[in-house]
Amino acid sequence: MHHHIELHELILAIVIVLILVLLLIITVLGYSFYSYRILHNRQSWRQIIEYKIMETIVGGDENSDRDLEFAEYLKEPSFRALFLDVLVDSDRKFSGGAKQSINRLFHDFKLEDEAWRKLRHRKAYLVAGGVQELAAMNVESAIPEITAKLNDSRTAVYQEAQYAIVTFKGYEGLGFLDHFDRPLSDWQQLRLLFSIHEIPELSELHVDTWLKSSNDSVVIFTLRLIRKFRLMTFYTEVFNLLDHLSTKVRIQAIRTLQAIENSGTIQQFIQNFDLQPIEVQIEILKAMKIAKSRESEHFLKDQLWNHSQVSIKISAAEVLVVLGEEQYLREISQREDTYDELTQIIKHALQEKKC
Amino acid sequence: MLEFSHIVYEIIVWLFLLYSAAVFIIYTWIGLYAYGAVFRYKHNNTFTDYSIIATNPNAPTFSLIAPAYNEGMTIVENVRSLLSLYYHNLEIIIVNDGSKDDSILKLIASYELEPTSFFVQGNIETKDIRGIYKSKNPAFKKLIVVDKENGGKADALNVGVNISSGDYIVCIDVDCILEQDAILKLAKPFLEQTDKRVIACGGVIRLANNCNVVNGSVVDVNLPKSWLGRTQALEYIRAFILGRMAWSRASGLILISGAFGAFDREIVLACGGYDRNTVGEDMELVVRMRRYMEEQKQAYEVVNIPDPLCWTEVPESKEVLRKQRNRWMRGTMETLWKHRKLMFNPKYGRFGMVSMPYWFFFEFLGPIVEFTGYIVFIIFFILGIINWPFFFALFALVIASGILYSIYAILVDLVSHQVYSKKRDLSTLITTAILEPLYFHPIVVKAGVQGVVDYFRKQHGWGEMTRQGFQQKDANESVWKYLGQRLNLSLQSLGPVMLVVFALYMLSVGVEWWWYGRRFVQLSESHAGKYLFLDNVLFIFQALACLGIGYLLLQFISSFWARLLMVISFSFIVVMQFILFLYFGESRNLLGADMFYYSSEEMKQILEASGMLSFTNIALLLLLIVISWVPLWIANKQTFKKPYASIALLFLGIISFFISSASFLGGSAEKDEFVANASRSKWRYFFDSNLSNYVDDHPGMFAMFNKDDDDAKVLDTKFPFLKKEDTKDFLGTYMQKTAKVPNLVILVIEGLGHAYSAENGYIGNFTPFIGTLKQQSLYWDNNMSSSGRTFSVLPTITGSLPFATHGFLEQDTLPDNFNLFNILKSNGFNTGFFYGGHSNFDFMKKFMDYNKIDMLMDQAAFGPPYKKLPEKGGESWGYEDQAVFSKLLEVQKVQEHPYFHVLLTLSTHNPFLINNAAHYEQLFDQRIATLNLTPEQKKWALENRTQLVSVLNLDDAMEQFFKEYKKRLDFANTIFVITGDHAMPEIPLQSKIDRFHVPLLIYSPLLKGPKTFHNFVSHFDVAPTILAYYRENFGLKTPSQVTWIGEGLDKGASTQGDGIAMMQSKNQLIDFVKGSYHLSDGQLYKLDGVLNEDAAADNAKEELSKRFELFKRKNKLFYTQKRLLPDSVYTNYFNRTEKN
Repeated sequence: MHHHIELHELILAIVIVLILVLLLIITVLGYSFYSYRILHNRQSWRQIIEYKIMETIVGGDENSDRDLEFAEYLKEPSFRALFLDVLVDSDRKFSGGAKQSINRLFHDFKLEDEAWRKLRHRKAYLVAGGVQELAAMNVESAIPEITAKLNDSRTAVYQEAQYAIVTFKGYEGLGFLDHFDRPLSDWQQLRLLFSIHEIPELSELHVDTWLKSSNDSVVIFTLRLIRKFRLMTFYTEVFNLLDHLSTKVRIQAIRTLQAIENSGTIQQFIQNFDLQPIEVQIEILKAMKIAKSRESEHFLKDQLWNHSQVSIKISAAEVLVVLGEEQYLREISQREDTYDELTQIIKHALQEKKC
Repeated sequence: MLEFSHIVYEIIVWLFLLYSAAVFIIYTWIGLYAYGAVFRYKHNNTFTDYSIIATNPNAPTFSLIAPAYNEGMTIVENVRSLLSLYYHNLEIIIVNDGSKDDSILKLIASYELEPTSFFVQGNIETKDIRGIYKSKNPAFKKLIVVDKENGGKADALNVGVNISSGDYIVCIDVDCILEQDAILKLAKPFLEQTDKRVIACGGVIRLANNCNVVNGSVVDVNLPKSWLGRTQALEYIRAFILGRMAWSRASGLILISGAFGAFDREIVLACGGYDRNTVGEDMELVVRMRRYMEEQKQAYEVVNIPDPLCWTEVPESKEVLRKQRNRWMRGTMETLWKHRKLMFNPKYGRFGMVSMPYWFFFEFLGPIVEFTGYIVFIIFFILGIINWPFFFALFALVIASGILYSIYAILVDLVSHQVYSKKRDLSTLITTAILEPLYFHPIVVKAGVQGVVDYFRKQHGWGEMTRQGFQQKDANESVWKYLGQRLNLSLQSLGPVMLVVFALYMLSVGVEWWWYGRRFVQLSESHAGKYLFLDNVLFIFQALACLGIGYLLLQFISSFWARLLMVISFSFIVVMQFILFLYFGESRNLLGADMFYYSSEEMKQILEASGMLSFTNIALLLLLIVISWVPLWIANKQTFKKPYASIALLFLGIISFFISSASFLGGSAEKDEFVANASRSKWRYFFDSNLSNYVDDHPGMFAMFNKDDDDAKVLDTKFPFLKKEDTKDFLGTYMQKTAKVPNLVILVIEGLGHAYSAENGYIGNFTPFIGTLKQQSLYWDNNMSSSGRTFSVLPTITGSLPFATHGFLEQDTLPDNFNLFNILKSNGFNTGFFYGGHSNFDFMKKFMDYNKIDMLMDQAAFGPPYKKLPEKGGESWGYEDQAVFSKLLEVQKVQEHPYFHVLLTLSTHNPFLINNAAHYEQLFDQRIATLNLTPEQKKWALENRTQLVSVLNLDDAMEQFFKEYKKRLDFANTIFVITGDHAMPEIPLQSKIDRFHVPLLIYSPLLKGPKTFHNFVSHFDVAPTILAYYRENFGLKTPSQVTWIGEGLDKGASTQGDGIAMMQSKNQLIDFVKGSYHLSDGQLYKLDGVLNEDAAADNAKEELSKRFELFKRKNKLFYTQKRLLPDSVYTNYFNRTEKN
């Protein structure tokens, strides 16, 4: 039979929850004050650490007393964590001798162990932190373990491993792209591109494979890479991407073609123009704007008059301005038979002052 | 009426409790989930180097749109602050929304602006643009200033969207102060998108009040000076750090603050930009964008990041704050109303099923529920029905939970982003958290409720809108007008259905009357037909009103479901009416809530055994369903031109609630109960029975709050039925002394009523053998059973046990109890139970298992040559009585130690089919001829021939049984108790007590002589008397404390005792007998010397009602505690007897 909730049972339940809530309030308050103290400590610690780093970089006199004091601080785990954070952060800001000095600090204060421990932790963000620190410290012995992390299923981990490997090996570190099947976010692409400084010769094979990758983000990344290092040899392969299924890839291909352009590029753009969707067409016009080739003049005028899309007309007019055709445009806009929209487009392109 | 108010009270209290529990759970979830979200973000961005996109030409372009209206005082400074934002691909669009001050002139002067030709590509309709300005100075080349006609914030933003050329737009209030890296941080989620498109991203907004701002950036953070400001600081922390982060992580965020948010421009344009006709344009846009993405079936995300990116001034005067909150509430309502289609719409996934309902139930309804709570509190206070301990406990919990949530938010904020890092800030925030519920919260609630009122008062329309943006057309109407039209339409469509139902129902009542006419002769002389008709008319009007109003309300939610439910319920009413009256015609019993106390197995068995589940019947039922469904479904498609028919019917329905059917049925004037029952609306009885049963089952809150203290002392004990065993040995004086402990056999005869087993019964004696046995026995001719059905006979006779809610054996687990089985067994008896059917029926097996009896002989234990009762509809109840009697003789061998058996027969149960029927029919005819029956008796007898033939068969079986028994050695040392479980309801009852009036015989060769007793006794008295006999004469150990309801056969239901209660069916505890009075369903009857009854004057009613109430309360106390006696009493007794 049903059991009815009696009032006293209900009150009892409420009082129990109330006591729990009050206990939680006390806990939270206690923890808040504790965290507050830690935060305050961190502020003073940060000053000590920054002073220490500055001292190291400037190469001041060795002061063993102060070193001892610093070593005392280092026994505190949260101080070590903060020290590591500040070091990694500073490491990024400096280069050359200063960077080496900072790296020396890592070794002097045995912070490597801390980073290794993190690398072997279970939590994704700690692993990623460990990878970051080891990479920043340039600990080459960590490469095999970091390479293994490339296949980790957790985004934070494999992204950090990718970045670390590229930091260690430069272009050679991109080998993981051969079999990479997950999307490479724009952010990650920018980071990776940012840390590659040169492409050694005799390493072109990979680029070829990546351009054929079924992973669009890998293709896009490769196009950006080609653009950055102006790898002219891949012109044909890039051009072939203009009929790629993804519009995003085509847009990047246009940008890349512009960057590695040759004498035939403008003509190829013109021939390809009508086969492309609006977004790509606009990109072609942008490329022409940068190329400033008179070859496109006739084509642009044609688009200005005849294309159905306003956005294309605007872009075409803007390129014509860049090509020095202001006079031509002004004449059209002043003609009485020019329709209103076109006049406005031209005025927009000319950035004409309104009276 | 009181019952009704109980229900209302209960519903209100529980709704509030459930709502509070839901709020509690949701906020707990938000707190925990947000914590994870905040820290995940923090960990993932520890070493993020934002500089890689700050100057990168490959980074996406952002267009920052800041609408300004009369901001002349600060606009130049504000724009300077925006220009210093750290991001390369950025354009800054300032939209001057027709300011009346000199904003535009100041801008032109400060930033060397000149009007420029500009072709606006975006296609969102806006007010006219007066001019677009760009700077001559290349230092300000990111800046575009638009001057336009005034059109409100949304319109200004739309102009900005039209002009913008970036991939993403960032909309801000121009008076906001942005962090330098705000765009960088907002850009990251967009750049990180992979499989899900990020369509909008918001950051945390903080309070600029009392902060030190230098050159357009905040250099010194302070809490506002006023408490109003501080509470908002706290509120912003809760909203941004906990609420939005949790919803963002759960992909359920539907609000990006208008003060600062970034959106995917392509999607904004595809959706048609901001809605100019709502005051909550920021929320509305996100909802519309999400709706668009859902409809396009594209994966997307709306993200909130916990970085504090934007500083804004909040109102520090109550008046401005009220206006702001009022506006927010209206904005919320407008958005929810406009997108009502999404609510609980599975097509929109989590967005429709979780986010929108959450927003509706908690963000929108929250202040309203709280406000209603205050009003309810005042009403309860005036009525004096507040339970103060409960109130204070709950109140303290609510306040403490609120404070906990705030403090927790402060903690999460502290450990993630230390904005308020001064030592005093922390303690000030905590103080604010404690003060908030008393000071700030009421203002916000009041403003919210005012917002709701304003929303409705202003007839908020969408009338002027001409633009046809994405999915906006369905909202172009006023709420009131919309509600009015819907109501009118549904009234028009309700009319035909109501009329058809009325016709169908009245037709069924006609059929009912015709059916009774064919079957029951006695009805023809009464006015039953007229009453039947009137009662049913009242009922159907009431039903039409209730269901009609239900339909009118429901169709606002879903027209389709409302119609479907209406047609289903109306057809159900018609079909059920047929079932109910056919059931009455078959069993002469009214069907009530008791049908729900049989398990489906039992139900099936009852139906099958009574032959109802025949192919013809099922086909007829299906046909009936079709016949009632089709006209209703057709009527459902029709509408009247005017709503008047429905209004008239609803009106009649409401009127009919004020007419009591008793007023023309003349109360209990109809002396013959059968005729009275026949003329009642079967549906009304069924409904009332179920309703009162529901109320009884849910004594709930009201009972809790209103325990009155009458008889508190009696109930002061935990075990209200426990008493000292002091039953006198009554049988001993009538029995010869013997050294050997006698055996005990109890024969319970199904349906053996007094009316047809005694000469003075109103039908006559159709049990010749039992008749002769009476003359050799102790015989009680005024004995009563404890129930109108079989379900309670075993616990009553063997244990004198109370009923609990629906019969003792219906309890989930049987509480420990003393009864003949376990007491006699512990005294060395062999125990057994004999039954021709399934012992699971009415949970008898549970009782037997509990008592660990030695022999359970039910259907499964029989087999050839024993014969089953003839089948009806392919199903037989079980073995015939002859078989059951013989089985006992077969399995119980003559033995040294005593035995105790209970035997329950079933041949005399509906459908009264027996083997060798022809023989007994002949006997019946002979009996009619030889018995000296009055014409009245003869008429009754012939009308109930089938039933009586089965009684003759039983009597004959019993005669054979005794004949055989006499041949055995143990016969001389056996006591037989013979009784009926209740009178057959299939034979019309003359009075209410007749249902319980059954003979009781104690027969034994040990008897000194026969004797007939006329005192009123009941089955409750059997066990105490028998045990007293065994205890006093044979030294059997019996418990010293017992829970008998009966007082022994010597006292019975005498005036001095507590009286006895009787259950008519499993859910009807409405009969009570004490002394010579019978209280039945609130009506008092006086019993004469042969248990005939007549309505009595009310002078003894109060005493009886009080006694009956007391019994009910004791019973309730027992079944809520699920214990009848202390464990110690129970275990001590059995331990002691075991030792012996």
